[in-house]
Amino acid sequence: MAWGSRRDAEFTAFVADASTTLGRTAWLLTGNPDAAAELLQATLVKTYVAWPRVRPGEAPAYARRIMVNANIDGWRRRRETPGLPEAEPGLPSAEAAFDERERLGRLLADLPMQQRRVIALRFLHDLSEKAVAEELGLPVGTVKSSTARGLAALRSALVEKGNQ
Amino acid sequence: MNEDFEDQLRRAIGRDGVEIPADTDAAIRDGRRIVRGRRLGWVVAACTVVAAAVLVLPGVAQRGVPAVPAQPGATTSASPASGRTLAGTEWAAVQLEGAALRPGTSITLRFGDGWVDGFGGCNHYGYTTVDTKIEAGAYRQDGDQLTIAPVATTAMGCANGVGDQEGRYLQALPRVQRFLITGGGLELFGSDGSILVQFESATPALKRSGWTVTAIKGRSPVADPRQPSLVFLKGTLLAYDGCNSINGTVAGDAAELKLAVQGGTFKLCTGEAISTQQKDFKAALDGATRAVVHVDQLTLFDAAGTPLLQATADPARLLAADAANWQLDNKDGAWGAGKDSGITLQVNDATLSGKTGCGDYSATYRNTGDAWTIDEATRLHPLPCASTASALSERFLGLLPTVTTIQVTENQLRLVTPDVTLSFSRK
Repeated sequence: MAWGSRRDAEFTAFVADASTTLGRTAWLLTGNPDAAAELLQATLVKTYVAWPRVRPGEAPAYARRIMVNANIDGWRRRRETPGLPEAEPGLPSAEAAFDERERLGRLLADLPMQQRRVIALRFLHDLSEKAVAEELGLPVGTVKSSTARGLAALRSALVEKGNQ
Repeated sequence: MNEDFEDQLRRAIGRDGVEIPADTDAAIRDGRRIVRGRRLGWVVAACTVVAAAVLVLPGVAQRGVPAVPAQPGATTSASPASGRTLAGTEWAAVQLEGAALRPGTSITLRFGDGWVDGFGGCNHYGYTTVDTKIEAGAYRQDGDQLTIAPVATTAMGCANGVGDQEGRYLQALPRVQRFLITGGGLELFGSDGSILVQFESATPALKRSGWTVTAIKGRSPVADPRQPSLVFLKGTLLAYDGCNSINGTVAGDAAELKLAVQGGTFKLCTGEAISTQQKDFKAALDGATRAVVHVDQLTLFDAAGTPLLQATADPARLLAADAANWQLDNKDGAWGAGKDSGITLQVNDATLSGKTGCGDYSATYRNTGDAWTIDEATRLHPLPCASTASALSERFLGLLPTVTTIQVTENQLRLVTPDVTLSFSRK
């Protein structure tokens, strides 16, 4: 099989395996499905380009590192969602229909960027504090404090919303 | 740490939920294009098909630090007739072909080192390179003459006429022949002299911002005891070079900046590193003619386009320079019976201080951007006060170490804790 064909086949298999988790990560980081889709796609393209350098079995971690270190705020601030239809009167609003998962996603999107990255890596990818520190280039102490602050803010916000 | 909550969080964010589509074929196609250097045909946003095809925009950098233009390339002239170089400027459209933009939409245009990128209202657009040569999205400025090559874009579908507006904008860009910068705005003219697109400046005028310096002439600064910083405050420049404070004036705007150093302290700091840093810092302030702000990163450039200094947004520096006295709001009566809480706050370089109604306090803090850590406060000069006031004072001081983030506008300061948000107004 020609190298190009092998690369494409390997990459296709990688996307089939990893895209769900990567997509979830992108959504946690951006809080917006449109921005998440763009971030995911940009990550996949960069991973494809770098494929010869990616060690076997390390592609998901490689792609994840590209994604969490991307200039995510640039995507979020520039991304708008024009043209979304207004909720029809008489139907349940989008807010009312959200379940705990989507509510959490929105609360996560309100956290500072560093806390979002840390929470996504610790609780979606189950990385240790040390592994998160290495991936983000931060001291372990900063990862610990960002985790604590992010969880405290989420817990508080969930309780507050639950009481509304 | 509450293990139950962590488990809940894991389950919630790991659960099947919002599906984010991945287009494998598009990723391979776009990746091959980059790898093989294949010429990219011009792609204008298709408004009928919703697809998730994203082209890699080299301006998106890793680690949250955006790529900024280093030097004006061969595509800009050395001395444009209009006196303004477009590289490093960022604009927000206000009119397209004589008509205001559709309500609720925005179109942006950023000029880099021979390339443009931006947001068309629905899709991002930008440039592509083939063997390091900019192809799609290249621009050339010669005096006030300007040409922009068709750009590459993402291909998301857009509803409600936004896509139509975007299409007209993207098709207007290659028709531009001339530009004019006037009164903080940019006008792009076609061959018949008509204004194709009118913009206002999107680059902040640096009227009110604080920055911690992260690089001076490419070198990480020495913190002795704290890192160099810059504050722009209503025409005043307040800087710290790592040893001495510097004050001066700020004139112009980010695209044509004039910083004038007027004075400062004259402490003697020994050591070659700090001495070099002081010289380079002063040279950066003297030589800066342009500032580029992207998200929370500031870069100062000289007239030749050489980056002189880089910095990260730091509200603490602005608050400390502002030296405002803030009063805790008591609109909901949570802080006593009176109209005012009697609790005040002042942000200094490394400490917070103020009054609680039962005496003074001081607490050290550290911050990275808007993420803050405040240490346990020291109570100073205690005054006799009623038990209610004493309880409120202790409650306030107890909340300070739980602060996670800070939000600042010109007249409002909010300390966010997990339990409550403390809102302060300028006294």
